[in-house]
Amino acid sequence: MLLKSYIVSPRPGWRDELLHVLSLMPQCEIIPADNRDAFILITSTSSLEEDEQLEQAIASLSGFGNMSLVSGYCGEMSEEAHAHA
Amino acid sequence: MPTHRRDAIKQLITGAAITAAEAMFPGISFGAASKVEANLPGVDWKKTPCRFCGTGCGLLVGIKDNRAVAVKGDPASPVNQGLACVKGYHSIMALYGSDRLKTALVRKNGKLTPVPMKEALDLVAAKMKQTIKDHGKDAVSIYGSGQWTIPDGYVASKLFKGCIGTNNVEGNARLCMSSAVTGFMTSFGLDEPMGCYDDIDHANTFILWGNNMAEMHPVLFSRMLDRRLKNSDIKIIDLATRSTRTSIASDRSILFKPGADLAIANAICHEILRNGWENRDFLEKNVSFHTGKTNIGYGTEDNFKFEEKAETIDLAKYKALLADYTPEKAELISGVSANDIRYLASLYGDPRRKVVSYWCMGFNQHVRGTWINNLVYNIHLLLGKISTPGNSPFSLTGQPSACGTVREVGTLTNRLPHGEVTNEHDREMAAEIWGVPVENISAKPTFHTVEMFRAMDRGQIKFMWIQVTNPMVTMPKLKRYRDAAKKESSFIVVSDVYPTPTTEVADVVLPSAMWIEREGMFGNSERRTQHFEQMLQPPGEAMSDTWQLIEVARRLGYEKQFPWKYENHIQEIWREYGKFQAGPQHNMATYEELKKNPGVMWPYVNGKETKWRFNKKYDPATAGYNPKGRDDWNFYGKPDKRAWIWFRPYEPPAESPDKEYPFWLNTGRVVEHWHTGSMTRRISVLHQAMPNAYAELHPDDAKTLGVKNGGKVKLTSRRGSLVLPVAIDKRGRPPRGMVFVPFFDENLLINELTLDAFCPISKQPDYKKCAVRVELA
Repeated sequence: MLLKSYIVSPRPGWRDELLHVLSLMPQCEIIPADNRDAFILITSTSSLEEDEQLEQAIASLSGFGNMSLVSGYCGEMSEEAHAHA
Repeated sequence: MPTHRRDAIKQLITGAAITAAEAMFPGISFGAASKVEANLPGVDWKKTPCRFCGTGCGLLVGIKDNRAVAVKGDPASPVNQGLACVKGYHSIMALYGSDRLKTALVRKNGKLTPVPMKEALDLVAAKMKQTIKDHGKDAVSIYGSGQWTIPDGYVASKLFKGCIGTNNVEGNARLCMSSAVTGFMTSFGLDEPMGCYDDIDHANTFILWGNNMAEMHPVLFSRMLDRRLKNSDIKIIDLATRSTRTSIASDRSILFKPGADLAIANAICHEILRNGWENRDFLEKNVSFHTGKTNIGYGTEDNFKFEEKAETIDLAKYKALLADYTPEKAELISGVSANDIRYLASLYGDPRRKVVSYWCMGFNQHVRGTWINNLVYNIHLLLGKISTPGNSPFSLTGQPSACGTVREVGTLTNRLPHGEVTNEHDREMAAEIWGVPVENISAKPTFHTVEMFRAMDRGQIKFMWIQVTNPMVTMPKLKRYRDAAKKESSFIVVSDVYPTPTTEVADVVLPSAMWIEREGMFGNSERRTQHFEQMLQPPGEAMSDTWQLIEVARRLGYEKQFPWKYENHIQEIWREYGKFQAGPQHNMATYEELKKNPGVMWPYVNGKETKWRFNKKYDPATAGYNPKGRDDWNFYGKPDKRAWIWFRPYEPPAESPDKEYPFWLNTGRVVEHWHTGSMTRRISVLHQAMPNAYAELHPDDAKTLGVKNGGKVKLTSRRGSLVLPVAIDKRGRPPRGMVFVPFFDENLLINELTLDAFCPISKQPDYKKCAVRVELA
């Protein structure tokens, strides 16, 4: 299980369409901002391969501008993961 | 994964994203999803500065049942005004890693073995005594940190410099701030910025020189963005060697070739003078002009020596020397178009613009670090845009107390809590306050950090006590210094909170109390001293670094110099240290005032902070110097009461790409991790967000190499090789021919490849520029 959070900035004028397309993707959950185009995207995938495919699919969307990974969790690793992991 | 756990993790990563978005887009609102402050019954909120970077954000930590259970930005702190970054919000989790060091360890038959703390401290003292007896006092050393609290650094300096009588005292701030120190000293005769963070609220132009503030100083960056949101005239210019999150958020991103900032700064000065934008009145009254030595070397050889020779010149001569730095000539060196250089000069030169220049490691980790610090001061001095609200050349600090401890207490080989070891008056002052014979304090500096580790390799230094830092990850040309530490002739004591590659080479490991598990003070970038009380009991036998040093000092026979009771030792140390800084140039707030306030800026005179030094409107230390016509300023750090403009030429880096090693290697940090990651990699959410180091490549270089995101490349320098996963357009984008690698990952040690060249004046290594080969792994 991979959970990740991103800040996504759509291209100018593409916000609503990008939100719509992403909302149709089952691995994606969106938290739109009330007063900015940028929004939070939470992704949930079952493998690194699926995660990579999803990331590429999002990056190739027409309205996609920029996406910054903020936080992530990989269920296969210990929650106390540290430098020696 | 159980649903409730999954939901909890989702909440955590969502919260982190909202926090990051709030920092990137001030004022952004996520409605109901935005965090609502938890109602936490029985929680006692206490103030503290953040444990991590040099910004010095005020935090409120919620304590319940001897456990830190919550954290938030302190709205009363003038630094962060209630904000915090992703590290600050997760800071308390660093206290609770499962492998915290709780007992002392001593190497027995090659293996680190648990022993009682008393036994370990006895051994440290005995080993020091024996080493001094057999090899002399300069065979023992201490290597501390900009993460030392002020009392830690003070007692270390008193023990080693005052009692033992060796100047073998260094701090890791040598690796991050010493070029800033020598920049200040050579230009102004006194260390630390003249301005403060309030400049953000007054300036309308921000020029960031090689400084990724969006990741390294995110709270200050968000204050700048907030100001821009409220004022359409604000301009933020990112002048850097690679594109970062800062570039994206800035109004202009201008990329230059590594090391060419020297040429750009000179060309800006050239343009200011060519256009007649200089402030003649200010220059005549307040500035003198100088040149120094050129072709000054790179310090890559052992026992490298450099002595500056300053020559006084005049404005006409200075102007003539700048003739080599027309925008067109600087374009050839820097890759920045002449038009862009003129644009930068026009921003500085526009009389309607108040300009703040910010820099950090890009300037300081530079083989000409002192020079480039001098050059940005030149720009501000030529225009008289300095020491007034909104006009400020401002050196940002990396560590929470690089300023407060290493620079102010003076835990560097050449420094004392007040002044220099070479100055007789400063030694006399120290001897009197410390209660030691003045002959104890050596007038001769010994080894700066790189040379200290070289001396260990040569067998000159036999004993090193390392506190709150991780040199087996951070030293450049790492293999040489790791091998040195592992030698039979080297006895290494390490005080830390977690196992690290440095504890792996230790003979004794002392478990340290961390941050709010003990009382202390930090001093941030803007001369603000902040106190924090002991809020928690440290785990097991963990003990503060201050008290470890006191325990060893007493075992060495210095009970008279270290007489304090545990209950009030921090208060007593602060009172004694304050004697060194008394007077209008550096007076510190009292212990009681520090406890009461969210930090106090020095010079603190008659109950008032000094926000802008050298300016007679604000700085009480300027009083008493009123020659005719000099009503506004007194640059009292220099004997001529003037700020010094230095002509400093462009000189190339120590190592540049060639046919065999065609890429620049640039190293640095990421927002999630604090330095070597020994704390933040134990915070699950930060570790998962940035689990390992990577090689950041330009997409075209990646295509040429035939590698995609996550694919592996092998980097090779003249010092070593390392295989790393590739990152393309993930976090930043270097120009073609450069690879960027963060240094936080102890499993992927990029400093195996870096070069130990340093600025000959500051002795600070250059981690930003060496040559590597990049191949498919």
